[in-house]
Amino acid sequence: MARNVGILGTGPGVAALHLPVLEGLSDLFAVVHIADAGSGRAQALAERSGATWSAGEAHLLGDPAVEVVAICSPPQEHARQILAALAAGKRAIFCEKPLATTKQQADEVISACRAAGAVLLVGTNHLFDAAWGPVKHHLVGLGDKVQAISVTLALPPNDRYHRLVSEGGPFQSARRGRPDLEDPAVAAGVLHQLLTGLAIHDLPAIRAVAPGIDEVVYARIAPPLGYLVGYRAGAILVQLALAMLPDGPDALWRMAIATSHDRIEVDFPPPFVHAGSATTRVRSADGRWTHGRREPEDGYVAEWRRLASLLDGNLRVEYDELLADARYAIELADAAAARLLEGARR
Amino acid sequence: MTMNGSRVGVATRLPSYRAAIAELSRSATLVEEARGAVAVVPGVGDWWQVLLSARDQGAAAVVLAEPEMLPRELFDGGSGPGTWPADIPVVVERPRLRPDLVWEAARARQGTRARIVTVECAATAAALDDVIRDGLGWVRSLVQGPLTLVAGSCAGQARMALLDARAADGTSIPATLVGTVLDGPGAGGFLQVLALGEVRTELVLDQAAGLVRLETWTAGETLGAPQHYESSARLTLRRTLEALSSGQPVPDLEDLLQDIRLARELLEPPKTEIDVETRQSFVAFRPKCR
Repeated sequence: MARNVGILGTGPGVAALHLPVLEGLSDLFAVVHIADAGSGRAQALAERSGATWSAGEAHLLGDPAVEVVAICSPPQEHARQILAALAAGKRAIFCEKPLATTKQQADEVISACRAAGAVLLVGTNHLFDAAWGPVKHHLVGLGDKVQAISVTLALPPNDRYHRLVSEGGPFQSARRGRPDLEDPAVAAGVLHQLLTGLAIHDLPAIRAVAPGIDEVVYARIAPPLGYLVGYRAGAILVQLALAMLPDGPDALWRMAIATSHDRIEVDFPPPFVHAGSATTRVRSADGRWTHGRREPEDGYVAEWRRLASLLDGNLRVEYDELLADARYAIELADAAAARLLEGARR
Repeated sequence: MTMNGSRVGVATRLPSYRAAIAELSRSATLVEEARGAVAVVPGVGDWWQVLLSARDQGAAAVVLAEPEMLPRELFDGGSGPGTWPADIPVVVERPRLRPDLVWEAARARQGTRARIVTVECAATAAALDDVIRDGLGWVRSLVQGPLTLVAGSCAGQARMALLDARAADGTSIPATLVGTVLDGPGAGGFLQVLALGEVRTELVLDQAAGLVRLETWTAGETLGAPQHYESSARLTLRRTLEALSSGQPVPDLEDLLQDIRLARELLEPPKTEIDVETRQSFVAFRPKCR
């Protein structure tokens, strides 16, 4: 039986991603209510799927038809809205990444969900990608042989991919003024946002292999907008690179893991589109390259299927893991921002 | 210059260069003496002294074949590299940094500057320093400007660094490097270079796997570079003969020394972006890195 979903948020991620994905999973989910924050966009989106619409979150959270609350609002709203959903008696929550923007918020949210016995899933879609499971299994089997992890992103504007999975528009979120990245405080804030908003896709996977952050070696904003962050997690070096580009080739989204025995590369598909799972390549110690096959379903679909499994009771919510993932990302973002500011002061 | 007809004499015992001479049979001939000839210096041990010796013996040009990293002492002393008189050309064979491949990569970018360059290297512990050096050479070549080390760290034998590259127009382009040790019979030398931007260059060079892939990505197409079937030794010897013929200066040695210096700096006890004065704490950390 399909579960009724109420969606908080009406940005491109809802219009171009979650609504089509949920339509494709109509045996599992039905969108019954969409709420905007006053933009008026909810009506047009809700009419597409015959759902109710409202402004603000109170009506949606008070709607008895809503069983699953999908929180797809700006990141700074996530923790508060989870708590509000729990207070309204909701016990099933899909929260877009990040779960929270401070460690205190993350602690409160997980405590509250645990106490209420609420099902909670954070939409870190790469973690649910079919390609990642075998890679993680392989790396865990290698134990302490992992030496370095790098995640390299080169992204054209999202608009390119919104157009492939949606129609009409506007596709882009309202543009704010270009931040003054010469101002260290602004740059540190942007870096924090990029790490908790974009790097978060892969940080839970990195944490699974390289838990703990011992030292941020460097943290830079790279023009026009991107970052270079290097840190040490125990005996593992981690490097994160992002270039957000005004134009250029299709997205590169690659995680590479160097061990003393092999090298593993995971290429994730571009955001928003449904091009199947990531693909993997393993370069063995004997010089052979092995290519993994692409599974038909992507992480976006897989994360909703996972939520259905949690709701069915086939899987248990790993509150401690969710909390550790959230804290890891926030600790990294805090430390990287501090490193950037410290560098600027010198 | 030792000439046999129109052929230039080449003094070498290296099989790859004897083969290259045979493949350039109208231009080159094997000779015993370095005097007046192209002297091929194997890049092992203290090759700098052998290089100087070849020059002292009157070589017309020197090929430096697959040089290893030089000992740090050579750079610390005053009589080391940097004092090469540049009166005869020195052409350096670096199979991981072939000039024809570098040229292909630069040409395909059509002058579009990279926004970020990343390099990942893997090799046996013995070869890793050389591979890191050549990875730095790729960054320098793609950016077409010098590099400086901003910050670095190590864990076990793995290395990580942030670098600033200065393009010809003065623009600063950040670059990163990760180097790891890969065990096993097929370790070889692995290099992956990504120049990210409106045009993306991706080079994968895996010596043990016999893989060289250079691709250039734009918004509209992906361009794969053709395979280069000319041997590395023949290419180097041909460039040497061209340098002798044209009299044009060859920057190979200067480039190599620049890359070695930077690699040495990176392989030294690491420094953070901001804490040069805490170097002592990293000196204490160093044993874990080697």
